[in-house]
Amino acid sequence: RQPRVELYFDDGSLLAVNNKSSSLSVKLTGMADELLKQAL
Amino acid sequence: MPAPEEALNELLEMSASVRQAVLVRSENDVLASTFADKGSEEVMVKTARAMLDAARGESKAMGRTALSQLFVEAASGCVFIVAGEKDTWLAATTGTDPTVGLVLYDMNTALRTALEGEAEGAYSK
Repeated sequence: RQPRVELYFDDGSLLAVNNKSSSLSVKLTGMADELLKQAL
Repeated sequence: MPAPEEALNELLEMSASVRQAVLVRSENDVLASTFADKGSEEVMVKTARAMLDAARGESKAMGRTALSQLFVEAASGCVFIVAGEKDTWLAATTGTDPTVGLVLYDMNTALRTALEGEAEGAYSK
């Protein structure tokens, strides 16, 4: 299971960064984990 | 009922996957929220905004157009963020394995409803 991070843009394009080596993916997944842990 | 609150209620009715949601303008001006607890709401707003800013920064560095939606799957659930006009954005959390397209569609509908309601003068903060 790889982290799924998807960015959608105004022009209709999509950027999927679904791997553990991407710094953006690691950063956003970590923040999402924190959010889900603390806010719920 | 003011438009933003109504829009969030409709979102919860339409999308069974959505657990919590906040509708925010700029950094932390909360227009509507499903949270009963103010502390949890603040954490959600602060973290979601940081996620949106990080994604926008990275997108800009890559020369992409404006970011409209963001989906992040974590171990215990997912975070969705949809950006709209006037720096208004809607963040929502779901459990694991939601139907991503449906959740994003419902969130966009809710955001549009809130903004249209505001434009028609149904809501003024």
